[in-house]
Formats: sequence, structure tokens, C-alpha cells
Amino acid sequence: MKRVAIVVSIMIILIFFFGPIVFVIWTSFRDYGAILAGMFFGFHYSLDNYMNVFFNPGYHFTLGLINSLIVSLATTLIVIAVSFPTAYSLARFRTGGGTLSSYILSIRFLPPIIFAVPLFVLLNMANLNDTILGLTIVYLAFNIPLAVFVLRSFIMEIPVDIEEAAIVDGCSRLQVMRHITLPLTKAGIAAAGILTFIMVWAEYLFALLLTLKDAVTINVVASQFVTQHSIRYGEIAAAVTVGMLPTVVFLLLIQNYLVKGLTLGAVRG
Amino acid sequence: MPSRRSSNSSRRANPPKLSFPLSDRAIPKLLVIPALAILLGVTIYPLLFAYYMSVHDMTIVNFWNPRFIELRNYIEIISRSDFWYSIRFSIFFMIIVTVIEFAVGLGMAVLLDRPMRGKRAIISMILIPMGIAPALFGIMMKLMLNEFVGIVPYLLKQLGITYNFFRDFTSSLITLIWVDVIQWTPFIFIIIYASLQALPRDPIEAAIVDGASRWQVFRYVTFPMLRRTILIVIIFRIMDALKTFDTIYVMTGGGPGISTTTLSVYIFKLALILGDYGLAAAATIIFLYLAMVVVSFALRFLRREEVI
Repeated sequence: MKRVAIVVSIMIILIFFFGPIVFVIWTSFRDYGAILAGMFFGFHYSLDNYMNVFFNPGYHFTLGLINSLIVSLATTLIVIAVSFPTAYSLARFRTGGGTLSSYILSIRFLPPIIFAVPLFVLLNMANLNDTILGLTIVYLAFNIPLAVFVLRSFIMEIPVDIEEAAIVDGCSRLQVMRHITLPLTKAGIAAAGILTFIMVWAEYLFALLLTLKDAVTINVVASQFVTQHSIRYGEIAAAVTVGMLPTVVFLLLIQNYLVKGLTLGAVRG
Repeated sequence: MPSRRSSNSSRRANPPKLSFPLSDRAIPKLLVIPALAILLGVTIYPLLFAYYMSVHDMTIVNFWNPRFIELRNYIEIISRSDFWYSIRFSIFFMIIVTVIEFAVGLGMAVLLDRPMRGKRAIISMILIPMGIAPALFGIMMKLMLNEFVGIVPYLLKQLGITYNFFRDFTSSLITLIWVDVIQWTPFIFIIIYASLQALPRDPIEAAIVDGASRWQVFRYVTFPMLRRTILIVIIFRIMDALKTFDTIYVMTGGGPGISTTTLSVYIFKLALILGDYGLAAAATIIFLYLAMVVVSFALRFLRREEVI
């Protein structure tokens, strides 16, 4: 009896949490007429939605996809490159004490809209609105905090003895960081990098505010589908399916580091 | 700044013996400079600029020559009832989703904290909503709840129920809470679940041997051991719930009327749709102080728990 109750509750949980994903993927393969007629059963499947989403010249989906890819990759690379030294410095020297850590963490916590309006105006003045460069610069700042804290918690787990031994052997601090700590933090770098990629790919507020047509990201394009082609449900579903694919795969890939990453290292998974 | 950095790199090229004591003192500070420069440039500078904007009449029309108007933007914004409404709605939404997500997430973590077949697959499926961009997730849910093509209204109709998920304030609010709960309960679930799995088994088994009921074990043994994790997860969730923008913007656009407008949606609309950047900046500054209150509580707690 108790077993049955557990199985039933898990079924209900999966319907609620996984059902929407199944529905959207399913819808993306159903054809236009069947969707509009509200025909849920019977065989009405095709790849038309995907074909249209990718190849219809009226849509900017492919552009959004490429932009998202460029912005996410560029942001991730730079964020990791500048966050690793910072994380190392915070982990080993407590640079800046509580003040610097608190400042970095508060950027992770403060609502991004607080920075959005002045950034919109400033980027406009610098002629950087609707450019990939402008968007990347903004994303850098809002993703450094997460990367710094995740990397810091990974570095803090490496015994200091190893580094001290290297220093005794005549390595400089920077050599230690590069040749001892960096290789030992590989897992952390992968986790922080993937989390950053997911965050940038998923970002919507700045993308909507700071892009217009050239630098639109996939989320912006997908939400434009809803307003401009609101009746083409199958295509909306196809756009959403393609858009969620990379981040879902990445999330499952770093599942083991997820808890640590999401709590910035405060909780060990 | 460039001169300091170049002197560092030349120092690195020097034989380590000579440069060692000096560089070791400077290096920790030099290492944080690139990240700090980006952070200051993209956060502090715009905030200072927001103060400037907030005391100027800066709209889409007179963008290039804003006029100094003292505190008139602030007076205007605090006299708007929809501004106060959006503050109240933001706080209300933040509290209600955090409470529901915590309760559901804790329940799910306890439910799955036992051996069962296919658990890894089940957990992966539960986590997936969290891995989807909130904007895309909102669109997805909007499709699923759509009165013409959505599967949920269709199934409800088979049961003889006609329900529009976006008809009025109440139905829209319930829909938005539902969507937020589906997307972010996995966050709370996975963190509590991981902590549960990492708990030492001895105290729990001792309590069971002493004849404690399942509920008593949870209430007096497990729960106290989870205290730190629970507080951390609630803090993270509260901070993120205060930001809520994406799902609401794509699903209801803050409507019907302004009934589901959070502060983020409100300020966004002031800037992008109304085109009044000065007014939006005044609202921004007020939101900054409001958020700082919550953030400083969070930071104080995290420091006490030695997270930072």
C-alpha cells in the first residue's frame, strides 16, 4: 500500500515537472492543421515546423541561434579567464576581506533590472546597442560572481600543502597558480564554465532590452514568434525545443556539481 | 593601471629569487584587477549614472540634452499608485512562490530519499525545467495552457471543466505561480535532496532504535541537521524570486491590466515602452534601496554561516 502511494506520487511529480517538456517536443512534430483543429490523437506528424523555423527567410531564428552561441561562448571564455585568478586570490589570500566578497556576491543577488535602465542608455550613447559586443560586456559582469564563487570553493578544497611544496621548490606564485592549482581545478572550471554558458543562454531581460534585430538572441526571437506569429503554434514549439536543447544537455552533464554550483559552493552536493 | 600590470608581467620574466618577496605581496591584488575592472565598469558606473538620470528629464524625445529637474522624477514615481502596486505584488509573489516551492521541494526530497529503481532518471527528469531558459519555459507553459491548442484545457474539457488560465487576475496569478513552482522547485529539491543524502545515518538509526516514529525522526533529528542548507536555499530562492521578470513578461506581460506587474516588469515598461528613462531611473534607485535591505540580510546571514 505504501509502495503504491510512493509510485503514484512520483508519477504525479513527473507529469507536472516533465509533462510540459514532453508536450512541447510532441507539439513541435505535429502538423499545423492538426494543432489548430485541436486534434491530439491520430497520426499527423511532420518536420515542417523545424523546416520553417530554420529556413523561412521571414524568421530570424537562425540568426538568434548563432548570436546566442557566440555571446554564450565568448562570455563563458572571458568570464572563466578573469574569474579564475580572482577566485584564486580570494581563496588563498582573502583579498579585499569581506568587503570584496560581499560586493561580488551582491551583484549575484541584486535584481538585474536595477542596472538595466542606465546600461541601456549608456550603451545607446556608446553606439553599442544591438551589438554582440555590447551584450557580451554586460553579460561578463553579471556572470563573474557565480564563476568566482564556484571556482573559489573548488580551489579551497585543494590542500595548501601542495602549493607550499612547490613554492619551496622555487616556483613563483603565478607559476603555482598556473601549473599546480589550475590543473587541479579542471572539474571546477568545467562546472563553472557550463553554468555560465547556461546562464547566458537563458538570459532574457538584457537581451530583450539591449538588442533589436542584429544581435537578437534565441530567447528574444522565440518570444517574438509568440507575438508576431501567435497562431503558428507548431513553429513556436519547434523554436522552444531547439532553444532548450543545449542548456538541458549541459545541465544533465554537470548534475554532480549542480548543488555546489547553484549555491556558489555553500552546500556540498 | 596598465603600467602596474606591465610591471607585473616583466617581474614574472625576472628570475624568481629577486622578485619573490615583493611580487608575492602585490600579486593577490593584481589577480583580482581584471574581474574587478569589469564589475565596477558594468555595475557601479551605471548605478552612479542612474542617479544622474533620475534627476534629469531624460526621455526618448530629449535623449541627448536632458534637463535638470531636481527631484521631480521621484515625486512623480512615488505618486503613482501602479508603482506601489508593483512593489506590493513583487513582495507578495516572492513570498508565496518561495513558501510553496520550499514545501514542495522538501516533500519531494524526503520522498526520493530512499532506495528505488530508476532514481537517477527520475531526478534528471525533475531537474530539466530548471535547465530551460525561463523565457522559453514561459512560452512552453503558455502553449500547454492555451485555450485552443493546449493539452491541459483539452483534458479539462474532457472532464467537463472549462477553464481559462489567463482570464482574470486570479487565474493569471495562479498560472504564474504554477509555472514558477514547476521551474524552481527542482532547485530547492536538488539541494535539500543532496544534503539529505550526505547526512550521517547514525543519529537517524539511533532515533529509530529508540522507538521514534518517522515523523519524530524527521522533526527532531533530520530537520535540525538540515537547518543550514534550508536557510541557504531559501535565501537564494528569495533573492531570485524578487527578480522575477522573464516568465511573467512572456506569459501575461504584467496583465491583465497591471495586475501581475512586478517591479522588474514595471521598470522595464517605463523605460522601453513609455521611453521615460529619467522616471525609470528614479524607480530603479528606489528598487535598489529596497533590494539592498534584502541583500544585506542575506549577506549577513551567509557571512555568519561562513559561506563568504
